[in-house]
Amino acid sequence: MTGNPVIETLNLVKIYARSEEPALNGISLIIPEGEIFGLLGPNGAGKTTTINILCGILRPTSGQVKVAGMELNGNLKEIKKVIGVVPQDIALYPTLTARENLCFIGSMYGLHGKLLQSRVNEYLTLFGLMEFANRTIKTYSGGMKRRINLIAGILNRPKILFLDEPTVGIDVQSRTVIIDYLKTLNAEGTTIVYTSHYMEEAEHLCTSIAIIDQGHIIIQGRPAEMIDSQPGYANLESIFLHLTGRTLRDH
Amino acid sequence: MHTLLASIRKEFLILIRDWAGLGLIFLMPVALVMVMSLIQDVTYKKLDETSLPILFLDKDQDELGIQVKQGLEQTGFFKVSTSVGGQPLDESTILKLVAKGDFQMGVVIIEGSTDAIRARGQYFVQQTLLGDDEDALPPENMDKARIVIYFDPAIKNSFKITVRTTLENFTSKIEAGILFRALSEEVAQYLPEPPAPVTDPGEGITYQEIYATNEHTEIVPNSVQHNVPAWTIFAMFFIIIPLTGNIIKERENGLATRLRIMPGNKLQALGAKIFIYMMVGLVQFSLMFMFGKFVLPYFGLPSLLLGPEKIALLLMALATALAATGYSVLVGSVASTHDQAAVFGTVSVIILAAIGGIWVPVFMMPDLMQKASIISPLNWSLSGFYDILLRGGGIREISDNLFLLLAFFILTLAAAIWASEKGVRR
Ligand SMILES: Nc1ncnc2c1ncn2[C@@H]1O[C@H](COP(=O)(O)OP(=O)(O)OP(=O)(O)O)[C@@H](O)[C@H]1O
Ligand SMILES: [Mg+2]
Repeated sequence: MTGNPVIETLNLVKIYARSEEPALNGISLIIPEGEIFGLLGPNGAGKTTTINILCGILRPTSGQVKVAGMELNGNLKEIKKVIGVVPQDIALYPTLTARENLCFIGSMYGLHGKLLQSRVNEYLTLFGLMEFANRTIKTYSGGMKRRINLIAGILNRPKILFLDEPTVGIDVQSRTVIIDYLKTLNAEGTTIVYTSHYMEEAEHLCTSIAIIDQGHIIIQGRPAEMIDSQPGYANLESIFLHLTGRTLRDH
Repeated sequence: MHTLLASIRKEFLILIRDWAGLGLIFLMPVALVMVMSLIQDVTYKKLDETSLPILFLDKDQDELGIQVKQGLEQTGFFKVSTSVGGQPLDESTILKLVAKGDFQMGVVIIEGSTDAIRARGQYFVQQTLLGDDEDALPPENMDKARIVIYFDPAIKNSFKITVRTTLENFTSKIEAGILFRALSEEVAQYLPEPPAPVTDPGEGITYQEIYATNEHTEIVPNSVQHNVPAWTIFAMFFIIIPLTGNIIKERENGLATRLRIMPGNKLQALGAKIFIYMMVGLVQFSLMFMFGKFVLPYFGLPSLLLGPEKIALLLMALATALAATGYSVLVGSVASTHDQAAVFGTVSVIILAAIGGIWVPVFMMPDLMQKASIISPLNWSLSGFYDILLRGGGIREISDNLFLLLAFFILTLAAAIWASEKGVRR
């Protein structure tokens, strides 16, 4: 099921302003079309930084990036139209209702009129939020906000969908709805790039993964093959712990 | 186009859900205008409406005394009292009362002043007509016409000069009248048939006082004409609180990032904000001016007079709203938290307002502050409104102010865009 690469990076380095340590230290990735690609790693590994560079929010310090077959530099406008992004932190207007938020975001992607309304309704129904559509986001629970945050990223039916920890802090029901939907979306042809801390979730969902730590990719491949190649480890989580160590991160 | 409309709609919804912000930008100025107009009404009345009480003693009891008293009363600047506490005045009471500062001025017309002027008139007429009669002696009382003015020592020199010139003006007028009559009486004696009695030549030269305005509009400075534009401008700059809140919350909530993820022009998102807050400014302006025109009169205050230059007023309001928006966008882009922006915004607007003559009109400020006032955009706006509302100016008279405000808008906006570009994608 390996298609043409839709994302290619070569030697990505990111050094944030006012910091000496590189957050990314030579990341090279190739993600073929149609994959569900999992970017896994402990806190502070560089997952968000990578995603943010891929969707044009951050400028890399050095290295090359191609998205949807185009150089990121200079084609951002075109690329933005075909990608969807679900950021790690909820990014919604708290005093607007769910519908108002989604209609605004949909409009930014050029949807309007009946098409916009029907698409917003479709997703609100799909994620079980139709009856809360006219409540302001600040009255939503964490899980409800996550679902709206997800809808905001897929309203434009992107060819490539980036999700930064879409399932963090939500209950099993919400998580199942989201994971099932991502599978459906992928079956329809969307390439998915996703980060998570949940190894079991990643093991079952992803067709391909990379484990990243301290700005380096330490292993890359298909989950099943990875487990096979590391005798003595029964699942992704134990491999992850083995490779990244047991020390606490982020400091 | 759809994206711009959607952005404007979004900004509008955010604005109308921000109750605290709305209260601040619409209710606060109305309350301020009300309170400040009522407080300052008294001050301005002292300045132009209530007349200054003065003491007047007429020992002459003749034409000069009567005319000076009338003249003083007619200026409208003075309230002339000829007795205090039911007691008729004499010179020593006047001296005492003025020295104590109870009254700022006392005027005494010395007895025989009119006679003296008459005698002098007759003497001059005779001298002129009968030129050769060199034996005729000048009458003794010729130089006895006197007006004595007592001034409170604390009184301002400029005021003293004003009063003296005013008095001099009508005494010489009266003198001319008396002389004229003496002359015509004298001439009549030498004519075989007396001519029809000459009527009084009337006022002769009259002095009409007009506020130095361009078009002689009937607008007189009062507390309402000052306070309504002043607090409107203040309120328009206070959009800094909700607008910086809007910008900073958008950034903190990751929405600024979301806006950059989506297609669509970055400047369009900013343009939508500017548009909405410019409209807010225009609504504030209309609301406040309506309030001044229709509501303040119910509280015993004069109604706001708009004058004929409505387009100029609107342009002034527009330029002010843009300047306020530019300033707020800049503070919002530079500040890192909303608290920071709110504190800095409030303090800076209050200071700029104080320097700019919002609290106290610039002409009442000390010299140094008057010079400093030109750095405040609120002053550019206020003096523009003054040009229209008090001096009857039109677009031409306010073009400097418009230019300054628009330049300020463009500069602050450019700085804001530069600052936020610098801050992202690093
Ligand atoms: N704006 C920034 N300025 C400076 N350093 C940053 C910035 N953002 C992230 N970093 C640093 O870069 C490194 C990578 O951060 P990143 O957010 O990409 O990690 P992550 O893998 O997404 O972690 P998490 O699982 O906690 O979300 C960390 O060391 C972090 O402290
Ligand atoms: Mg992260």
